[in-house]
Amino acid sequence: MTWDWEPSIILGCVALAAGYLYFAHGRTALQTCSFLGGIVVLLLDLVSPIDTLADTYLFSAHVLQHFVLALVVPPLWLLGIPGSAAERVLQRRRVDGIEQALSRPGVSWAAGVGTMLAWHIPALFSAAIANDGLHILQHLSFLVSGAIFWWPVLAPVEPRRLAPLAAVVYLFGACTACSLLGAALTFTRPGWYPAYLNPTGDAGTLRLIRTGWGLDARTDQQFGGLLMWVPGCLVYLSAILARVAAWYRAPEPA
Amino acid sequence: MKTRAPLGMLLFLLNEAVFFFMLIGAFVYFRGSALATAARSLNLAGASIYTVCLLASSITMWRGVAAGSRGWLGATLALGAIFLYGQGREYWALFRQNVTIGGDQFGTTFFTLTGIHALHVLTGLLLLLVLLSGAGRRSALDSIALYWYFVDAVWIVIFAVVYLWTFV
Amino acid sequence: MKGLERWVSTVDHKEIGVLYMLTALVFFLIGGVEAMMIRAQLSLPGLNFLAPETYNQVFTMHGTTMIFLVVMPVLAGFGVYLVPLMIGASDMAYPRLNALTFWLQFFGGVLLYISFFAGGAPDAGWFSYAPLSEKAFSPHAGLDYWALGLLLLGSGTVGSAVNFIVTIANHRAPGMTIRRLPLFVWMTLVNSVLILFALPALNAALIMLLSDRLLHAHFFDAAQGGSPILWQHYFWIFGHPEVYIMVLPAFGMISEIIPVFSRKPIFGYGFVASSTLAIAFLSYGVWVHHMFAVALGRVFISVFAAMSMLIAVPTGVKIFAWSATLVGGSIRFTTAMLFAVAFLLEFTIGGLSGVAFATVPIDWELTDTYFVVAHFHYVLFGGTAFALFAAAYYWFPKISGRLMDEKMGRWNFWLVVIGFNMTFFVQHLLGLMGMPRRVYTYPNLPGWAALNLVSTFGAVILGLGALVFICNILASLAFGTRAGNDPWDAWTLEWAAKSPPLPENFETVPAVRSRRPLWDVKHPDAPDWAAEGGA
Repeated sequence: MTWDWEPSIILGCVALAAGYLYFAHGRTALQTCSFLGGIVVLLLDLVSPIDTLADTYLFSAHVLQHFVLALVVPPLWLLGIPGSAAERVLQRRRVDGIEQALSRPGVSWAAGVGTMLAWHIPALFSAAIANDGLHILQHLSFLVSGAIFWWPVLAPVEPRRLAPLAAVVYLFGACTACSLLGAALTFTRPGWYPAYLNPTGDAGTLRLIRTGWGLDARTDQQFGGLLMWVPGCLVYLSAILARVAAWYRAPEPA
Repeated sequence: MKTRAPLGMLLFLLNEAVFFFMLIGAFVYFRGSALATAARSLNLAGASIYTVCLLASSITMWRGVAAGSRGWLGATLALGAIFLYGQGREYWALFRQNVTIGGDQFGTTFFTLTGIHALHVLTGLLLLLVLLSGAGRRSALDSIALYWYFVDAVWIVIFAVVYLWTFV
Repeated sequence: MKGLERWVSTVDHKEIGVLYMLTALVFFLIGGVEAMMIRAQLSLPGLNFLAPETYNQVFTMHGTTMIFLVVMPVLAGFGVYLVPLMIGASDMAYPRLNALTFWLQFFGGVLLYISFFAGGAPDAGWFSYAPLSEKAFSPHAGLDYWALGLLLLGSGTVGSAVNFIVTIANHRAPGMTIRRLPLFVWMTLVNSVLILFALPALNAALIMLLSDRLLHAHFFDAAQGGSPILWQHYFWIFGHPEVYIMVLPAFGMISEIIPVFSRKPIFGYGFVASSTLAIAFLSYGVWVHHMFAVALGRVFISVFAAMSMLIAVPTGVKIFAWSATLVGGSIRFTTAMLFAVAFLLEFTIGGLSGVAFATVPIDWELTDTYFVVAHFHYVLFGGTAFALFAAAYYWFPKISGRLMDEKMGRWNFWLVVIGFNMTFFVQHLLGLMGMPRRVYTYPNLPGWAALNLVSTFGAVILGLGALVFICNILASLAFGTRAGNDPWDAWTLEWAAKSPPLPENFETVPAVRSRRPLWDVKHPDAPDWAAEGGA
């Protein structure tokens, strides 16, 4: 189990961090931590042994990887953008136009949920494992669609965010969708993604996974489904609770 | 005060959605052991025709609500009745092939799921009848229409899961 | 028969609320008699007071009665009575649906009890596991009555949930925003959404069971290709949210009562409200913890074990908030407050025993033992029932116009607390010693007889406490001191109405500018909304 120090990934992360530090004026310490933390998490997600396990050996590891790309990194990034910097960028008409189009709740929700569902179609998922270019596209699409999905919930600019009830329904709907997919993977027979039934790889790693960790093909698929279902929903639920708690804290006109 | 009827109906339909989801879940759960019987007993062509009738009834219902016309609502009633007739014919054909609710897992899950759905269609028709006869409140039309669209939407899912997924 | 005709045809929410409460009280007595029969049979090993088959019917009916014919209806009754008053409305959104849902629950209960006269009551436990519930193993009609009765009850409950949500959404007095809702109303709202998602799972399972039993289908019948595990999944997908359905309104009652008798607003209103949402969402992700002893796979049950531990957190937040409300308050120990404070302790004990079960190896050791019985009685009786006693003493003056007697209240309280804890605390020990549940007798192992005898004795004391409660109600109705509108100097809108309220509830609804509208009316120099309303 090795670390895959892919130069393009490292360079990309460094560039992103540099860009943030240069352009994001008026940021608080917490925001800086959040954004840079997101980059660190992204880096780990893509270069650590998780990546090796995901590519070849374990469906559940791959689920974990996508989970981070769609549900952890984009929120950390959005939370790290200072409102003033975002406002300045949004003043440009083109940018504002794109934002208006993409942040329509129906559109952003469909982008996030749709991307997740589409990539789990067996043919597409298996193709992405086999083809490197497609795989990169897959990961990018999770990041981008994740950012689009989370924007109406976590936009740095308050007026662009959804109202509390709408946010609850929006997030609950996404939670239901990922629960359905996750539950389907948990309860049905293994073999959705044949590449993981009999992975061809290093014998030592295989022994560790199958015997050491006790993850046979069936348990692996089950675990992947469970990850999507339970921790996935916890992310949405935390967002719901944070939104509701903030709503209760806000003062009300008498 | 906002209009009361639609929210109440929407909430009731939410509960019905979960209910049908559980029944469909049972069908999917047993699909493996039911598939053989399903493939040889179901009549996709026939069911498709009656499905089209039911979907058309949603359109006539929509027109009926928009125009407030008894004609369109009557057409909805007729199309819904044709759907039930078609279901009845399918059931009869299945009984003749010895496929019953007490037979195998296909019979168990198919008849329960489609039977409960058919009862919902029947209820919808009765509601329409009451409305058309003048006994019902005009203001209930929006709720009844919502109920009708829901029942049709559930049928689309059932049709896909039971018929299309068996043959496609 | 003018009086009877009025009660049978009423659509007034207050009268329907009283109908719910009275019916629930009658079934409480019946369920209590069933409990006494159980305790009598178990007081010593080897008794034959009840034949085994009869015993099975009695404990099944005791559980089914207490859950479906007592707790759920009485919570609906308090909700139906209080919610319109608390939000300044004149009735529920759908008064006739309100009546319908009551009568559905009433006749569901009647149907259930007819089974005793129709070949025997259901006897497969309140959750009727397959394959025991199938025709092959339970040929008599008792389980058909159970399923049909529950279908009626479940439909009624769904109807009342719809009614609550529409009422709270559309009929609030001007100025009563969602963030200013009394917590009882907020909990009722969240609870109603829980009901909408949970009851249909039960209804589906019951339809499937009836198909199996009456139409020879094979949903749960393993011999013919069905799956008994499917019943367990479906039942508990309902069953776990159901336990929160039985406790959230009780949380709401406690959230109203403790602040008033501490003379302080509740601590952390926002936390209590948000944690309620958390409980509601999480409650759908823990059901498998009722099935840890079924071979479902370690990874699978581990995830649910983690979730089950997590769900204890939002409830803990609430206990903390209620306790913090007490701190620094000027406490008034009325009977209602005694029960409310006792609730905190008893429910916490029940919660702790519950969380113990989240640890899978502990569950493997203790499932289906008396430890479970102890756990759920602590949360359902020590929790919900204590909250109901508190609510009875607190709102009886509003409903009847008279105060309940405080002296009898003290007797009621101490008999119930001592009796309850004596009955059920020892059951933790019996469970740890290995005594299984649902057994009509047990062997004479060391300590078992003594503990069971203590438990039975406790049940007698508890029963006496319940009788004192009934006597208090009757005596207070006849002779109680007149209460006036606002005997407790409380703050929510129902106390602005007369006691009992006018048919239309209010002549004029007080202005609502904060969470405590009556405080604002009584303290125009220091109203809540002046202190930056909200939070």
